[in-house]
Amino acid sequence: MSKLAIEGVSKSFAATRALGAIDLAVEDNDFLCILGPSGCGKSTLLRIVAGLEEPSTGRVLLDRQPVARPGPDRGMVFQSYTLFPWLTVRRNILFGTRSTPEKADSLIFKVGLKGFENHYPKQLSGGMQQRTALARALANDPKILLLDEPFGALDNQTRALMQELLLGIWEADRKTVLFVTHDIEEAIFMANRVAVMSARPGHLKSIVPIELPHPRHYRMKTTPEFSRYKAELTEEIRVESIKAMEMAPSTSTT
Amino acid sequence: MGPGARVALGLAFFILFFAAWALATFGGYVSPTFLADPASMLREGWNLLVQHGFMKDILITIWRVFGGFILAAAIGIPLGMAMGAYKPVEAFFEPFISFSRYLPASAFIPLLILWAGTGEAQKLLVIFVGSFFQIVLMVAVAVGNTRRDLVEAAYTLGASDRAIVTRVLLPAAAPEIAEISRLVLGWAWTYVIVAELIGASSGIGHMIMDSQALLNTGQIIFGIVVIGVIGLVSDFLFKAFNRRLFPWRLA
Repeated sequence: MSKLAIEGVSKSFAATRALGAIDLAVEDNDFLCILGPSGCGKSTLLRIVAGLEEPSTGRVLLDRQPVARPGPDRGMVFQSYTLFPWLTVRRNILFGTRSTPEKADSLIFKVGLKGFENHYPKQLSGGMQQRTALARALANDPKILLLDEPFGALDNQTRALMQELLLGIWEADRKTVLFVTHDIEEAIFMANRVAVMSARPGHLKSIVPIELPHPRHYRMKTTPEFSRYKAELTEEIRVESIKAMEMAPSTSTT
Repeated sequence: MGPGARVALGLAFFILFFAAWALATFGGYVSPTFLADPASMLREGWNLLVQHGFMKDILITIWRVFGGFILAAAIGIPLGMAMGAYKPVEAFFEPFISFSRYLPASAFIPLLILWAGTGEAQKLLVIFVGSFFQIVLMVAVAVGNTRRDLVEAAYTLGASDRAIVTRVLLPAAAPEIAEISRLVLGWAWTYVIVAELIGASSGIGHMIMDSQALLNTGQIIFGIVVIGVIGLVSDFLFKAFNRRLFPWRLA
Protein backbone atom coordinates (compact mmCIF):
# COMPACT_ATOMS: atom_id res chain seq x y z
CA MET A 1 0.00 0.00 0.00
CA SER A 2 1.29 3.43 -0.95
CA LYS A 3 1.92 6.22 1.53
CA LEU A 4 -0.21 8.60 -0.49
CA ALA A 5 -2.84 7.53 -2.99
CA ILE A 6 -4.55 9.98 -5.34
CA GLU A 7 -7.57 8.22 -6.80
CA GLY A 8 -9.51 9.68 -9.71
CA VAL A 9 -9.07 13.24 -8.49
CA SER A 10 -10.40 15.98 -10.75
CA LYS A 11 -11.31 19.60 -10.24
CA SER A 12 -13.65 21.92 -12.08
CA PHE A 13 -14.13 25.61 -11.41
CA ALA A 14 -17.63 26.66 -12.53
CA ALA A 15 -17.90 25.28 -16.06
CA THR A 16 -14.19 24.85 -16.78
CA ARG A 17 -12.26 21.73 -16.03
CA ALA A 18 -8.96 22.60 -14.38
CA LEU A 19 -7.69 19.15 -13.61
CA GLY A 20 -8.47 15.84 -15.32
CA ALA A 21 -8.96 12.66 -13.35
CA ILE A 22 -5.58 11.90 -11.80
CA ASP A 23 -4.44 8.56 -10.38
CA LEU A 24 -1.09 8.70 -8.66
CA ALA A 25 0.62 6.79 -5.88
CA VAL A 26 3.51 8.06 -3.81
CA GLU A 27 5.57 5.49 -1.92
CA ASP A 28 7.09 5.91 1.50
CA ASN A 29 10.43 7.80 1.28
CA ASP A 30 9.70 8.74 -2.31
CA PHE A 31 10.63 12.11 -3.77
CA LEU A 32 8.11 12.72 -6.51
CA CYS A 33 8.16 15.84 -8.67
CA ILE A 34 5.06 16.91 -10.53
CA LEU A 35 6.24 18.72 -13.63
CA GLY A 36 3.89 20.60 -15.90
CA PRO A 37 3.37 23.78 -17.90
CA SER A 38 1.81 26.87 -16.31
CA GLY A 39 -1.87 26.53 -15.62
CA CYS A 40 -2.00 22.75 -15.92
CA GLY A 41 -3.53 22.39 -12.48
CA LYS A 42 -0.48 20.96 -10.72
CA SER A 43 -0.78 23.42 -7.86
CA THR A 44 -4.48 22.65 -7.58
CA LEU A 45 -3.63 18.97 -7.28
CA LEU A 46 -1.19 19.72 -4.46
CA ARG A 47 -3.73 21.91 -2.69
CA ILE A 48 -6.24 19.07 -2.88
CA VAL A 49 -3.69 16.75 -1.28
CA ALA A 50 -3.11 19.38 1.41
CA GLY A 51 -6.85 19.54 2.03
CA LEU A 52 -6.99 23.24 1.16
CA GLU A 53 -9.29 22.50 -1.76
CA GLU A 54 -11.92 19.85 -2.29
CA PRO A 55 -11.72 17.65 -5.37
CA SER A 56 -14.78 17.66 -7.68
CA THR A 57 -14.40 13.90 -8.00
CA GLY A 58 -12.14 11.25 -6.50
CA ARG A 59 -10.32 11.14 -3.21
CA VAL A 60 -6.91 11.33 -1.59
CA LEU A 61 -5.71 8.73 0.93
CA LEU A 62 -2.80 9.22 3.28
CA ASP A 63 -1.88 5.98 5.07
CA ARG A 64 -5.28 4.68 3.87
CA GLN A 65 -7.10 7.49 5.64
CA PRO A 66 -9.14 9.80 3.39
CA VAL A 67 -8.05 13.44 3.45
CA ALA A 68 -10.88 15.84 4.29
CA ARG A 69 -9.21 18.99 5.57
CA PRO A 70 -5.74 20.40 6.12
CA GLY A 71 -3.78 18.82 8.93
CA PRO A 72 -0.34 18.62 10.51
CA ASP A 73 0.33 15.24 8.85
CA ARG A 74 0.82 17.08 5.53
CA GLY A 75 3.36 19.88 5.81
CA MET A 76 3.33 22.49 3.09
CA VAL A 77 5.69 25.12 1.75
CA PHE A 78 4.07 27.67 -0.54
CA GLN A 79 5.53 29.65 -3.41
CA SER A 80 4.51 32.91 -1.74
CA TYR A 81 6.26 33.91 1.49
CA THR A 82 3.93 32.71 4.22
CA LEU A 83 5.95 33.25 7.37
CA PHE A 84 3.92 34.97 10.08
CA PRO A 85 5.38 38.47 10.00
CA TRP A 86 4.75 39.11 13.71
CA LEU A 87 6.81 36.10 14.80
CA THR A 88 10.58 35.72 14.80
CA VAL A 89 12.24 32.93 12.82
CA ARG A 90 12.34 30.68 15.86
CA ARG A 91 8.74 31.35 16.86
CA ASN A 92 7.60 30.74 13.30
CA ILE A 93 9.28 27.34 13.39
CA LEU A 94 7.61 26.68 16.75
CA PHE A 95 4.15 27.56 15.39
CA GLY A 96 3.17 24.02 14.41
CA THR A 97 1.18 22.08 16.98
CA ARG A 98 3.75 19.25 16.98
CA SER A 99 6.87 21.39 16.92
CA THR A 100 9.17 21.36 19.94
CA PRO A 101 12.05 23.67 20.96
CA GLU A 102 14.55 20.81 20.41
CA LYS A 103 13.30 20.15 16.86
CA ALA A 104 13.22 23.87 16.13
CA ASP A 105 16.81 24.41 17.26
CA SER A 106 18.10 21.44 15.32
CA LEU A 107 16.28 22.60 12.17
CA ILE A 108 17.50 26.19 12.53
CA PHE A 109 20.98 24.69 12.43
CA LYS A 110 20.20 22.36 9.50
CA VAL A 111 18.81 25.10 7.26
CA GLY A 112 21.66 27.43 8.19
CA LEU A 113 19.73 30.07 10.10
CA LYS A 114 21.85 29.99 13.22
CA GLY A 115 22.22 33.60 14.37
CA PHE A 116 18.95 34.66 12.73
CA GLU A 117 16.56 32.98 15.21
CA ASN A 118 15.35 36.29 16.58
CA HIS A 119 14.98 38.09 13.26
CA TYR A 120 11.56 38.99 11.92
CA PRO A 121 10.64 37.78 8.40
CA LYS A 122 10.90 41.33 7.06
CA GLN A 123 14.59 41.32 7.94
CA LEU A 124 15.28 38.18 5.88
CA SER A 125 16.04 37.62 2.19
CA GLY A 126 13.63 35.53 0.12
CA GLY A 127 15.89 32.49 0.32
CA MET A 128 16.13 32.75 4.10
CA GLN A 129 12.36 33.10 4.38
CA GLN A 130 11.82 29.94 2.36
CA ARG A 131 14.41 28.09 4.45
CA THR A 132 12.49 29.13 7.53
CA ALA A 133 9.23 27.99 5.92
CA LEU A 134 10.84 24.64 5.15
CA ALA A 135 12.07 24.31 8.73
CA ARG A 136 8.62 25.27 10.00
CA ALA A 137 6.99 22.52 7.94
CA LEU A 138 9.61 19.93 8.97
CA ALA A 139 9.48 20.86 12.67
CA ASN A 140 5.87 19.71 12.70
CA ASP A 141 7.10 16.27 11.64
CA PRO A 142 4.57 15.66 8.83
CA LYS A 143 4.15 12.27 7.17
CA ILE A 144 4.57 13.92 3.80
CA LEU A 145 6.05 17.23 2.71
CA LEU A 146 4.15 19.15 0.03
CA LEU A 147 6.13 21.79 -1.84
CA ASP A 148 4.41 24.16 -4.24
CA GLU A 149 7.17 25.73 -6.37
CA PRO A 150 8.83 26.83 -3.14
CA PHE A 151 11.87 28.27 -4.91
CA GLY A 152 9.96 29.79 -7.82
CA ALA A 153 10.32 33.38 -6.63
CA LEU A 154 14.07 33.13 -5.94
CA ASP A 155 16.94 34.09 -8.21
CA ASN A 156 18.78 31.30 -10.03
CA GLN A 157 21.82 31.07 -7.75
CA THR A 158 19.75 31.06 -4.58
CA ARG A 159 17.39 28.52 -6.09
CA ALA A 160 20.26 26.15 -6.91
CA LEU A 161 21.54 26.37 -3.33
CA MET A 162 18.06 25.78 -1.94
CA GLN A 163 17.69 22.67 -4.10
CA GLU A 164 20.92 21.28 -2.69
CA LEU A 165 19.82 22.11 0.84
CA LEU A 166 16.45 20.39 0.45
CA LEU A 167 18.03 17.40 -1.28
CA GLY A 168 20.59 17.13 1.54
CA ILE A 169 17.82 17.08 4.11
CA TRP A 170 15.89 14.49 2.13
CA GLU A 171 18.96 12.29 1.66
CA ALA A 172 19.51 12.40 5.42
CA ASP A 173 16.05 11.34 6.60
CA ARG A 174 14.10 10.35 3.47
CA LYS A 175 10.92 12.18 4.30
CA THR A 176 8.25 11.50 1.67
CA VAL A 177 8.08 14.55 -0.63
CA LEU A 178 5.64 15.73 -3.27
CA PHE A 179 7.21 18.63 -5.13
CA VAL A 180 5.45 20.74 -7.76
CA THR A 181 7.55 22.64 -10.29
CA HIS A 182 7.67 23.81 -13.90
CA ASP A 183 11.47 23.75 -13.89
CA ILE A 184 12.74 20.64 -15.69
CA GLU A 185 16.26 20.78 -14.28
CA GLU A 186 14.93 21.22 -10.77
CA ALA A 187 12.69 18.17 -11.20
CA ILE A 188 15.49 15.92 -12.48
CA PHE A 189 18.00 17.05 -9.89
CA MET A 190 15.71 16.44 -6.95
CA ALA A 191 13.29 13.68 -7.83
CA ASN A 192 13.25 9.92 -7.77
CA ARG A 193 10.37 10.05 -10.17
CA VAL A 194 8.99 12.86 -12.31
CA ALA A 195 5.26 12.87 -13.07
CA VAL A 196 4.70 14.90 -16.24
CA MET A 197 1.36 16.65 -16.59
CA SER A 198 -0.38 17.72 -19.77
CA ALA A 199 -1.71 21.22 -20.51
CA ARG A 200 -5.00 22.26 -18.96
CA PRO A 201 -7.09 20.41 -18.01
CA GLY A 202 -4.10 18.58 -16.52
CA HIS A 203 -3.80 14.85 -16.99
CA LEU A 204 -0.95 12.63 -15.98
CA LYS A 205 1.04 12.14 -19.15
CA SER A 206 3.90 9.93 -18.04
CA ILE A 207 6.03 9.01 -15.06
CA VAL A 208 9.78 9.11 -15.61
CA PRO A 209 11.99 7.40 -13.00
CA ILE A 210 15.23 9.35 -12.45
CA GLU A 211 17.93 6.78 -11.88
CA LEU A 212 20.71 9.09 -10.82
CA PRO A 213 22.62 7.95 -7.73
CA HIS A 214 22.47 9.64 -4.35
CA PRO A 215 23.98 11.68 -2.82
CA ARG A 216 23.60 14.03 -5.75
CA HIS A 217 26.03 16.83 -6.29
CA TYR A 218 25.37 20.01 -8.27
CA ARG A 219 28.04 18.97 -10.82
CA MET A 220 25.69 16.17 -11.79
CA LYS A 221 23.71 18.75 -13.73
CA THR A 222 26.39 18.74 -16.44
CA THR A 223 26.68 14.95 -16.87
CA PRO A 224 25.45 13.16 -20.04
CA GLU A 225 22.86 11.17 -18.05
CA PHE A 226 21.40 14.34 -16.69
CA SER A 227 21.29 15.85 -20.17
CA ARG A 228 19.55 12.78 -21.51
CA TYR A 229 16.78 13.13 -18.94
CA LYS A 230 16.60 16.80 -19.69
CA ALA A 231 16.22 16.18 -23.41
CA GLU A 232 13.51 13.59 -22.81
CA LEU A 233 11.48 15.75 -20.44
CA THR A 234 11.98 18.87 -22.53
CA GLU A 235 10.30 17.09 -25.45
CA GLU A 236 7.40 15.99 -23.26
CA ILE A 237 6.85 19.41 -21.71
CA ARG A 238 7.38 21.39 -24.89
CA VAL A 239 4.37 19.90 -26.61
CA GLU A 240 2.24 20.73 -23.58
CA SER A 241 3.64 24.24 -23.22
CA ILE A 242 2.71 24.98 -26.80
CA LYS A 243 -0.82 23.75 -26.11
CA ALA A 244 -0.94 25.85 -22.96
CA MET A 245 0.18 28.93 -24.86
CA GLU A 246 -2.52 28.49 -27.46
CA MET A 247 -5.07 28.55 -24.63
CA ALA A 248 -3.27 31.47 -23.03
CA PRO A 249 -6.24 33.52 -21.78
CA SER A 250 -7.41 30.79 -19.43
CA THR A 251 -4.01 29.97 -17.98
CA SER A 252 -3.36 32.72 -15.50
CA THR A 253 -2.40 30.58 -12.52
CA THR A 254 0.04 27.75 -12.09
CA MET B 1 13.86 66.72 2.31
CA GLY B 2 15.58 66.24 5.67
CA PRO B 3 13.67 65.91 8.96
CA GLY B 4 15.01 69.30 10.08
CA ALA B 5 13.50 71.02 7.06
CA ARG B 6 10.17 69.27 7.68
CA VAL B 7 9.96 70.53 11.24
CA ALA B 8 11.00 74.03 10.18
CA LEU B 9 8.32 74.18 7.48
CA GLY B 10 5.67 72.82 9.86
CA LEU B 11 6.56 75.43 12.48
CA ALA B 12 6.67 78.16 9.86
CA PHE B 13 2.98 77.74 9.13
CA PHE B 14 2.07 77.98 12.82
CA ILE B 15 4.03 81.22 13.09
CA LEU B 16 2.44 82.58 9.93
CA PHE B 17 -1.02 81.65 11.22
CA PHE B 18 -0.48 83.42 14.55
CA ALA B 19 1.02 86.44 12.77
CA ALA B 20 -2.06 86.78 10.57
CA TRP B 21 -4.33 86.42 13.61
CA ALA B 22 -2.35 89.01 15.56
CA LEU B 23 -2.37 91.39 12.60
CA ALA B 24 -6.16 91.09 12.16
CA THR B 25 -6.92 91.65 15.85
CA PHE B 26 -4.20 94.05 17.06
CA GLY B 27 -4.46 95.97 13.79
CA GLY B 28 -8.11 96.64 14.56
CA TYR B 29 -9.43 94.96 11.40
CA VAL B 30 -11.70 92.66 13.41
CA SER B 31 -13.82 93.71 16.38
CA PRO B 32 -12.79 92.08 19.71
CA THR B 33 -16.46 91.09 20.17
CA PHE B 34 -16.05 88.56 17.37
CA LEU B 35 -12.45 87.55 17.69
CA ALA B 36 -10.14 87.99 20.67
CA ASP B 37 -6.48 88.75 20.03
CA PRO B 38 -3.83 86.12 20.94
CA ALA B 39 -2.72 87.99 24.06
CA SER B 40 -6.19 88.23 25.60
CA MET B 41 -6.83 84.61 24.69
CA LEU B 42 -3.80 83.61 26.76
CA ARG B 43 -4.82 85.96 29.57
CA GLU B 44 -8.35 84.56 29.62
CA GLY B 45 -6.96 81.06 29.51
CA TRP B 46 -4.74 81.79 32.50
CA ASN B 47 -7.76 83.20 34.38
CA LEU B 48 -9.76 80.10 33.56
CA LEU B 49 -7.07 77.80 34.89
CA VAL B 50 -6.25 79.80 38.01
CA GLN B 51 -9.61 81.26 39.06
CA HIS B 52 -12.31 79.07 37.54
CA GLY B 53 -10.88 75.61 38.04
CA PHE B 54 -10.70 74.91 34.30
CA MET B 55 -8.22 72.08 34.93
CA LYS B 56 -11.09 70.11 36.47
CA ASP B 57 -13.16 70.60 33.31
CA ILE B 58 -10.25 69.42 31.19
CA LEU B 59 -9.81 66.28 33.28
CA ILE B 60 -13.54 65.52 33.19
CA THR B 61 -13.59 65.84 29.41
CA ILE B 62 -10.54 63.57 29.05
CA TRP B 63 -12.15 60.98 31.29
CA ARG B 64 -15.37 61.07 29.25
CA VAL B 65 -13.53 60.61 25.97
CA PHE B 66 -11.48 57.71 27.23
CA GLY B 67 -14.36 56.17 29.20
CA GLY B 68 -16.74 56.17 26.24
CA PHE B 69 -14.02 55.12 23.84
CA ILE B 70 -12.81 52.21 25.99
CA LEU B 71 -16.40 51.02 26.39
CA ALA B 72 -16.91 51.13 22.60
CA ALA B 73 -13.58 49.40 21.92
CA ALA B 74 -14.13 46.71 24.57
CA ILE B 75 -17.33 45.57 22.87
CA GLY B 76 -16.63 46.73 19.32
CA ILE B 77 -13.26 45.07 18.74
CA PRO B 78 -14.38 41.52 19.71
CA LEU B 79 -17.58 41.89 17.70
CA GLY B 80 -15.67 43.23 14.71
CA MET B 81 -13.24 40.31 14.97
CA ALA B 82 -16.08 37.81 15.09
CA MET B 83 -17.58 39.42 12.00
CA GLY B 84 -14.27 39.39 10.16
CA ALA B 85 -13.61 35.76 11.07
CA TYR B 86 -17.04 34.16 10.65
CA LYS B 87 -19.16 34.83 7.58
CA PRO B 88 -22.53 34.06 9.25
CA VAL B 89 -21.80 36.51 12.08
CA GLU B 90 -20.92 39.12 9.50
CA ALA B 91 -24.08 38.44 7.50
CA PHE B 92 -26.13 38.80 10.68
CA PHE B 93 -24.74 42.12 11.93
CA GLU B 94 -23.23 43.86 8.93
CA PRO B 95 -26.39 45.38 7.36
CA PHE B 96 -27.65 46.80 10.65
CA ILE B 97 -24.28 48.21 11.68
CA SER B 98 -23.65 49.71 8.23
CA PHE B 99 -26.97 51.51 8.63
CA SER B 100 -26.26 52.56 12.20
CA ARG B 101 -22.88 54.09 11.45
CA TYR B 102 -24.61 56.85 9.48
CA LEU B 103 -26.85 57.79 12.41
CA PRO B 104 -25.24 60.96 13.73
CA ALA B 105 -24.20 60.61 17.36
CA SER B 106 -25.19 64.21 18.08
CA ALA B 107 -28.79 63.52 16.99
CA PHE B 108 -29.03 60.91 19.74
CA ILE B 109 -28.31 63.43 22.48
CA PRO B 110 -31.98 64.36 23.20
CA LEU B 111 -32.91 60.68 23.35
CA LEU B 112 -29.94 59.81 25.52
CA ILE B 113 -30.79 62.63 27.92
CA LEU B 114 -34.30 61.20 28.12
CA TRP B 115 -32.96 57.72 28.83
CA ALA B 116 -29.90 58.42 30.91
CA GLY B 117 -30.40 61.93 32.26
CA THR B 118 -27.67 64.54 32.03
CA GLY B 119 -25.12 62.70 34.12
CA GLU B 120 -21.89 60.98 33.16
CA ALA B 121 -23.66 57.91 31.76
CA GLN B 122 -25.25 60.03 29.06
CA LYS B 123 -21.93 61.62 28.09
CA LEU B 124 -20.27 58.23 27.84
CA LEU B 125 -23.17 56.93 25.75
CA VAL B 126 -22.76 59.74 23.20
CA ILE B 127 -19.11 58.80 22.72
CA PHE B 128 -20.09 55.15 22.63
CA VAL B 129 -22.74 55.64 19.93
CA GLY B 130 -20.32 57.74 17.90
CA SER B 131 -17.41 55.28 18.12
CA PHE B 132 -18.87 51.81 18.43
CA PHE B 133 -20.27 51.22 14.92
CA GLN B 134 -17.21 52.70 13.25
CA ILE B 135 -14.89 50.45 15.26
CA VAL B 136 -16.93 47.32 14.55
CA LEU B 137 -17.03 47.84 10.79
CA MET B 138 -13.40 48.85 10.39
CA VAL B 139 -12.13 46.00 12.57
CA ALA B 140 -14.30 43.52 10.63
CA VAL B 141 -12.75 44.72 7.36
CA ALA B 142 -9.21 44.60 8.81
CA VAL B 143 -9.67 41.04 10.08
CA GLY B 144 -11.42 39.95 6.88
CA ASN B 145 -8.44 41.21 4.85
CA THR B 146 -5.96 38.91 6.59
CA ARG B 147 -3.79 37.25 3.96
CA ARG B 148 -5.47 34.03 2.88
CA ASP B 149 -2.15 32.21 2.46
CA LEU B 150 -1.19 32.87 6.09
CA VAL B 151 -4.44 31.26 7.23
CA GLU B 152 -3.81 28.30 4.91
CA ALA B 153 -0.25 27.92 6.18
CA ALA B 154 -1.55 27.86 9.76
CA TYR B 155 -4.08 25.16 8.88
CA THR B 156 -1.36 22.97 7.33
CA LEU B 157 0.58 23.38 10.59
CA GLY B 158 -2.30 21.86 12.52
CA ALA B 159 -4.03 25.02 13.79
CA SER B 160 -7.66 24.58 14.85
CA ASP B 161 -10.38 27.04 13.83
CA ARG B 162 -10.05 28.66 17.23
CA ALA B 163 -6.29 28.91 16.96
CA ILE B 164 -6.69 30.56 13.55
CA VAL B 165 -8.57 33.39 15.27
CA THR B 166 -6.23 33.79 18.24
CA ARG B 167 -2.90 32.94 16.64
CA VAL B 168 -3.33 34.31 13.10
CA LEU B 169 -6.26 36.70 12.61
CA LEU B 170 -5.75 38.62 15.85
CA PRO B 171 -1.98 39.20 15.60
CA ALA B 172 -2.21 39.85 11.85
CA ALA B 173 -4.89 42.52 12.30
CA ALA B 174 -3.57 43.93 15.59
CA PRO B 175 -1.54 46.81 14.11
CA GLU B 176 -4.49 47.87 12.01
CA ILE B 177 -6.84 47.59 14.98
CA ALA B 178 -4.50 49.86 16.94
CA GLU B 179 -4.49 52.31 14.04
CA ILE B 180 -8.32 52.21 13.86
CA SER B 181 -8.45 52.92 17.61
CA ARG B 182 -6.20 55.94 17.19
CA LEU B 183 -8.41 57.27 14.41
CA VAL B 184 -11.70 56.72 16.26
CA LEU B 185 -10.29 58.25 19.45
CA GLY B 186 -9.64 61.38 17.39
CA TRP B 187 -13.28 61.45 16.33
CA ALA B 188 -14.42 60.88 19.91
CA TRP B 189 -13.01 64.31 20.77
CA THR B 190 -15.58 65.88 18.45
CA TYR B 191 -18.47 63.95 20.00
CA VAL B 192 -17.51 64.80 23.56
CA ILE B 193 -17.61 68.54 22.93
CA VAL B 194 -21.01 68.22 21.24
CA ALA B 195 -22.24 66.21 24.21
CA GLU B 196 -20.98 68.88 26.59
CA LEU B 197 -22.59 71.73 24.69
CA ILE B 198 -26.01 70.34 25.60
CA GLY B 199 -27.13 69.49 29.12
CA ALA B 200 -23.76 69.54 30.82
CA SER B 201 -22.52 71.31 33.92
CA SER B 202 -18.82 70.60 33.50
CA GLY B 203 -16.24 69.91 30.84
CA ILE B 204 -14.48 71.91 28.13
CA GLY B 205 -17.64 72.05 26.00
CA HIS B 206 -19.64 73.39 28.92
CA MET B 207 -17.07 76.10 29.52
CA ILE B 208 -17.28 77.11 25.85
CA MET B 209 -21.08 77.38 26.11
CA ASP B 210 -20.75 79.57 29.25
CA SER B 211 -18.20 81.79 27.54
CA GLN B 212 -20.54 82.28 24.61
CA ALA B 213 -23.17 83.67 26.98
CA LEU B 214 -20.53 86.14 28.23
CA LEU B 215 -19.34 86.89 24.69
CA ASN B 216 -15.84 85.96 25.88
CA THR B 217 -14.23 84.88 22.59
CA GLY B 218 -10.85 84.65 24.30
CA GLN B 219 -12.08 81.83 26.53
CA ILE B 220 -13.81 80.08 23.63
CA ILE B 221 -10.66 80.10 21.53
CA PHE B 222 -8.57 78.98 24.50
CA GLY B 223 -10.97 76.04 25.01
CA ILE B 224 -10.70 75.08 21.36
CA VAL B 225 -6.91 75.30 21.44
CA VAL B 226 -6.80 73.12 24.57
CA ILE B 227 -8.84 70.43 22.79
CA GLY B 228 -6.50 70.63 19.83
CA VAL B 229 -3.40 70.29 22.01
CA ILE B 230 -4.81 67.33 23.99
CA GLY B 231 -5.88 65.64 20.75
CA LEU B 232 -2.43 66.12 19.26
CA VAL B 233 -0.66 64.83 22.36
CA SER B 234 -2.89 61.75 22.72
CA ASP B 235 -2.46 61.00 19.01
CA PHE B 236 1.30 61.30 19.34
CA LEU B 237 1.36 59.01 22.39
CA PHE B 238 -0.87 56.49 20.64
CA LYS B 239 1.43 56.43 17.60
CA ALA B 240 4.51 55.97 19.77
CA PHE B 241 2.78 53.22 21.71
CA ASN B 242 1.78 51.41 18.49
CA ARG B 243 5.33 51.57 17.21
CA ARG B 244 6.61 49.97 20.41
CA LEU B 245 3.89 47.34 20.34
CA PHE B 246 4.54 46.17 16.77
CA PRO B 247 8.28 46.27 16.14
CA TRP B 248 7.96 43.57 13.47
CA ARG B 249 6.23 46.01 11.11
CA LEU B 250 9.17 48.39 11.03
CA ALA B 251 11.91 45.79 11.24
